[in-house]
Formats: sequence, structure tokens, C-alpha cells
Amino acid sequence: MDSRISQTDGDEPRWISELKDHDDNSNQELYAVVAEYDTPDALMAACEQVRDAGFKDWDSITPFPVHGIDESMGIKQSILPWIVLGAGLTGGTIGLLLQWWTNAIAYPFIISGKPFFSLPANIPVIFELTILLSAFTAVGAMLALNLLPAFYHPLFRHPRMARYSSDRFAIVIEAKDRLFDREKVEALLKGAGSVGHEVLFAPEKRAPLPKVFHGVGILATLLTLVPLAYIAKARFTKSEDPRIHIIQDMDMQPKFKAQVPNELLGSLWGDARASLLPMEGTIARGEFVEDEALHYGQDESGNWVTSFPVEVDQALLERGRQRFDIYCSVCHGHAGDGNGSVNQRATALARFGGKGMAWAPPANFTDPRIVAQPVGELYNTVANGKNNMKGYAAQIPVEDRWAIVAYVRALQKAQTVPVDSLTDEQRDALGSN
Amino acid sequence: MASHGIELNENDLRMPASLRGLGGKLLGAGVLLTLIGVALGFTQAGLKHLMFAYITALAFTMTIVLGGLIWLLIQHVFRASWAVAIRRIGESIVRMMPLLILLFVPLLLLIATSSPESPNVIYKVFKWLDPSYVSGDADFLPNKQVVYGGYLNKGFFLIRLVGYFVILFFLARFFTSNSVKQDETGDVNTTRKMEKLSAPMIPLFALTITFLGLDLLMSLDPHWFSTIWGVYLFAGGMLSFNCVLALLMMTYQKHGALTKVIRTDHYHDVGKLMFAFVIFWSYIAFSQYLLIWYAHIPEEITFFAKRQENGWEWISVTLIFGHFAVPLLGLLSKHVKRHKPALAFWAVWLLVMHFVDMFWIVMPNYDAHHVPLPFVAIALALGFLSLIVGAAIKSASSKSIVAARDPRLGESLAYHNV
Repeated sequence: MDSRISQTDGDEPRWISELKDHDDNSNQELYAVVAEYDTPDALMAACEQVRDAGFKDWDSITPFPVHGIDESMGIKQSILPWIVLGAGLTGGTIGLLLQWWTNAIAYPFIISGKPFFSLPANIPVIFELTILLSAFTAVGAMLALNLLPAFYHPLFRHPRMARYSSDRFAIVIEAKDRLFDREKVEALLKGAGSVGHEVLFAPEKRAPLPKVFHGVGILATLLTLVPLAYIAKARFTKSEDPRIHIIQDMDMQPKFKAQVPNELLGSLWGDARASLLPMEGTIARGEFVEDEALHYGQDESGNWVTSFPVEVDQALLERGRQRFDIYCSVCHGHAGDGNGSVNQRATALARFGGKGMAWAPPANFTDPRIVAQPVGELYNTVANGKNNMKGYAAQIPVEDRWAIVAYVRALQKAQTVPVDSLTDEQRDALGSN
Repeated sequence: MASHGIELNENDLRMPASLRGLGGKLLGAGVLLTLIGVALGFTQAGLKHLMFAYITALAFTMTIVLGGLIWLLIQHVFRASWAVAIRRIGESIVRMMPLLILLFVPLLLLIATSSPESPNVIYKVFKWLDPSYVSGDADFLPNKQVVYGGYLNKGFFLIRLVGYFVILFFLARFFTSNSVKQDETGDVNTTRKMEKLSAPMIPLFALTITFLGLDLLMSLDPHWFSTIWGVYLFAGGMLSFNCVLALLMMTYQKHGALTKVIRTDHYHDVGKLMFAFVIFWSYIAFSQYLLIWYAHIPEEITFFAKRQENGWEWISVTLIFGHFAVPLLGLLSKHVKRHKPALAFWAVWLLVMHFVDMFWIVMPNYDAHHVPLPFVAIALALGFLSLIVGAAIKSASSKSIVAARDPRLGESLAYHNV
């Protein structure tokens, strides 16, 4: 049995009298009249009477929600739904603007090939922020509209207050209501069927905050400035110390780095470099070149070779044609005229608005200068590139490079051979297309 | 709780004659509209268009009836009391499952009688029926054997559909006839029996609607798939069923039935379900769109690529605004949900949008290059819906229009929303 719910209505529980003892001896004034009811129906009927009498500063207390009590008390529809709607729309707008500004204006980069301002991709965040702001606002606004949190309320001193969260109902009419008149109110509530009523007094002034709170409050406020001060110091001063690295992950690895002097290596053999040149007289595995003409297109003196170091036959030419079509025709065209699809596109862009695009066209193999180049030089161009063309050594193995060179020669010959030197059959074959 | 102690007498349980007459008229109108649709198909639109329009109308009606079934199962599994007063109205729609199954029969007959020697128009609808399409279909399809050989073939398809119909038939019959039986016996155990069975039947329903939707609608485009398909159809169906329910409730009351039984709070709750499923449908529809759009892989993107050009983009935009944005704002307010004319307006609006949704699903498979005239589809959809609703009303007229001896009826009659 809860000792606070006393059997006799006259005795007040000890904790209440103790509270009253602490009341600073300040003046007590009439706060409200509280009337008790023992059924929800009685309560509802009484509420209707109070409502009809025109009171404004009053409330009813029930241990459970009573359906229909809003109407009986004349409580109007809350404005909370409108506040939540506003918050939801605000959230959605924030989500939209945030994503638009960050993705399309502030730091645009292509994500998954989607446009910078990409509405479908933005929907989840917009949706989430709408819900988030709606939900948080609903909770916060609901508390605020109920004037909560309230750390103290005079009703806490009411001896029978505990019953009103258990098995009784109450109506409280506050003295500050403009229609309040003690006798009239008591008569009204009694006439509406209350089983008891009590007059509640409360100090006219709230008890002052204990002095300690002031000190603690000032100290706490000053303490919150300390982290801010540290942050400000870090922000506006320079320091030689390395930055504080809290989550190490795998950031500090005990390994040798290529472009950094490594002390351990220096102490081992005097050279602090982790990537060294091969020692004198050694060749790395796979780097041995037996046939220099084959690999470099040059002889010992460094001159370009003028004859093929491989056997040039139909198979080589076919291979060369296939490889040429794969690697070279994009820029140089299938006829080697320098007008491959890349060239066409690039000239079109340069003509129609590529921003200041300068395009050097790929070489036309029938250019006399290139016709005069020895095969070794052609080979070198394939392997190592020339001007804007990058070398294809990494993609094309040695044999294939020579095949391409053979095919290039074939293309050159095909386009520079004089018509007169063709036999009749050859001329017919060409003309029949 | 201030309960009103409503007592129902014999009269309150009978359907008024005018309402029964309306049922007959709706049935007649349904037949007429269906015939008009079919006639238009044969004369103007062409058989292929007619078949696709038929499937559109079938999808429209099927989702509504199936939405009713799951609504009913949910009422039982939650032991909900608010809807007991209107459950009989919902059950009348679910009771029409055999009629819905009957509407499938022409389709099944066409499929069953088709063969490579004598192909009929159904070969142009369900392309996978045609062996030359299957064999000529792109060789890069990695699971061609599984998709066509194992799953999409005539025999298995027919067996599956029959299977779904058997399940749906028995589900509908169990939950509607037990409810009606309780009118006589007043046996509480009937309620317990329905509650107990509803739980395992919900996953069975989920599987059934998923595969039925897959077979009827997704197989129209054999390359494409969406794992959220079943949920999508469920969402649209539940939404549309609640619209039909709201309109039926108003119709009943207009004819003087259930005036003591149905409160504003019941409309409010049906309106809440409509609102909730507008949001749910939108969520699912957008989920389906976002994943496919973002990945942009060729085998999935065809669905949305087709629906964003050649005029179909207007239908898609209509769905965004008409099925999501506008009804969401419209149904937000509790006052709208408690005001019968406003609720009726949104119920009709959403039913139209559900039709547009089904049209948008089915018809691009008929013609992706322009939006065909919708008249055949509209006539058939309206016809089927009229048939189902009319037959539902007529069938309900022979029984009590309220679940009179349901143990939770009292709670439902006194149901209060805050």
C-alpha cells in the first residue's frame, strides 16, 4: 500500500509537510481549487459545466486518456499539425538545396555518370530530412506547447495528486482566471458531482535558487569555453608538431618508401634509397635483349635498321593488318591517312566549340617524310611514340610491332604506287569496286 | 468510455431493396461496358490491342480483389475491432474471387489452345509462348534455359495459374463463409479459427500475389525483372481496395443501410489507410525506379527507358503527381478524411490513378512508340469493376450486411477516433 495515498483525507503525508517546511516562510496565496470525481462520466459532465461557465485557466486530470474529453472541455484543435507540416516542408527544402548546392555548385564531380543535379538520386536525403525535421519538431513542439519540461508545479503538493494517476479524476480551476471567485467555483464544482474538493495554496513567489547553483552555473559555462579556446588556438596559430592522429588505421606502416630517405637502409649500406639502380654488370630477369636490332630497331652504332629483322611474309602482313586495325586505325585511319575516328571527332570539336582545343592531326603515312623513314625508325615510333603519340611498347609485343611496321609499309606502297606499274588485271580488280 | 449501447434489430441487418437494385444495375452496366470494350477491340482497335487492354483491366480488378483479401487477413491477424462494423462490406468484394477467376478464363483458354502450328493473338502478348521467339532470343541471355525452358513455358504457366486460383479461391471462401456462418451460430471459436489461420495465410498470400503478378504482368516483357514487383502490386491493390471500400460504405449509407453502424470514425480510418498506402505505393514505386535508374544496366533499364519517351513520359509524370504528390497533400488533413464528399473525391481520383498505373505497366508492351487510345482499356476496366461490385452487392443482399454476432461488433459500433 502506497504510504502516500493516505486513508484519512485530513492528514497530509509527511513529505508534503516537509516541503512546506522548506517554504522560505514566504506568503502563501490561493493557487487553485481542485475538485475530485470518481467516474469519467461525472468528470466529463463537470467539464462541460465548467466550459459552459466560461472559465479559461483550468484543466482536468485523468489517469488514462478519456475519449471525448477534448470536446467536453472545449479544447480547440491544436496547431501542432501545421507546425509539423511547416517543419516537414522546411526539411525537404533543406535536403534539396543542400544537395543541389554541394553537388552542382560548390564541388561538382561526376558520380556514377549521373547529372550534377540529379533529382532521383537526391530523393532519399530529401525524404529523410523531411521525416527527420517533422518528427523532431513534432516532439519538440508538442513539449513546448505543453509548456514542458516543467520542473515544478504547485499540484505536486496536493496530497491526493497521486490518486489522479491511479483511480480518481480531478478538475483544477486556477485562481488567476478572470472569472475566478472561490465560493462560486466551489459551488459549481460541487454541484457537478464532485466527491471532494480542496483548496490549494502555493507560495506567491517561487523559492530562490540556492546560491550554490549560481556558482556551479558560472563555472560550468566557463568550462564549456575551454574546448572552444583550444580549437581557436589550433585554428589561428602555427605549430611544428604533427597533427594529432587518433584513429591510426594502417597509416604508419614500417615499410620502405620510394621517394623518401630510409634511415635503416642508409645505416645498412650507406645508400638511403629504397629503389636502387641495378648493380653494375647485372640485368634484371626478363630484361635481357639478345637481338638489339629486333628489340630496338637500331644497330650497334645507334642507326636505324633499314631491313626487317623478321621474315616478312603473308602471315606477318595479315597479323600486321589485324594489329594495325586494333591499335592504330583509331587515329591514323584504316588507310593510314591520319583521318581515323579520333581525328574526325577532334577536328569537329575544335571546329565547333571545344574550348581552345589545339589538335595536331595524326601522321599521314604517305607523307614523303615518313615514306623516307627507315623501318627501324618506324619501329621506334610504334614502341616509344613520337610527339603527341605515346609509345605502345606496353601493349604490343616485339614481333607484333614489326608486323605493324610491315603493314605500314604495305599501306604506303599501296597508296604511292604509280598507276602505270599496275598490270591490267590489277587495274580491273581495283576499278570494279 | 461513453459508449452508446447501440442495439441492432432485424431491419438493420437487411440490405435495402434499392441497394440490391443498384447491385443489379451495376452488374448490367458491367456486362454492357465489357461488351462495348470487346466490340471496340474487335472492330476498331485490333485483337492485339484488345488482349493488352483485357490484361490491363484484369490487373486493375485483380489487384482490388486481392487487396481486399489481404485487408481481411490483416483484420483477423491483428484482432482488429475498428473495422468489424464494415467488414461484411469488404468481405462482399473478396467473396467475388470466383468471378475474378472466371474473368481469367478467356486468357487461359487462349493460351491453352495456342500452339506453334496454330498460333493465335496470345503469341503476340506473351512472347515466350512462341518457340521461334524463344530460340531467336538473344544468345547472351545467360539464364535463357532457366527462364524459358524451366519457367516460362505453356504447361507450367497454366499449372501455376490454376494453383494460384485454387489458393485464392480457398482463402476467400474460408474467410468469408466462416464470417457469415458466425451470423447463425455466434460461435466465438469461429473468430479464433479465422485469427489463427490468417497468420500463416499472409505469407502464402504474399507468394501468391508475387508470382501471379510475375506471371501475368512481368512475363509480358520476358527479359525484364524486378524483385519488388509483388510488393508494388500489393501496395496499389490495398490502396484501391480501401478506395472501393470507402465508396461502398457511402453507397450503403446513401441507400439507408448501416446508418447506425458506420460512424465518421470508420471513414476516418479507411481514409487513413488510403493515405498510408498512397505513401507506401510511392515509396515502393520510387524504390523500384531508383535502383534500376541508378545502376542503369541494360537488362533492367529497358522498362523505364520505354516509359520515358514517345509520349509515355507524360503518363509517368501523371503518376508522380497524380498518384503521389497531389493525393498525399490532399489526404493529409484529418478533416478531409472525415468529410464524406471529400473522401469520395479522393477515392475516385485514386481509383483512376490505379487504372493509369496498370495501363502504364501493361500497354508499353503493346506499343512502346506512342501511347495508344485508352478507350478499350477504360471500358473493360470499368466493366470488370462494375461486374465485381455489382455482383458483390447482389451477393451480399442475401446475408446480413453486418457481422452481427462477431464478438467485437460492440467495440466497433462505439469506435472513437480522438
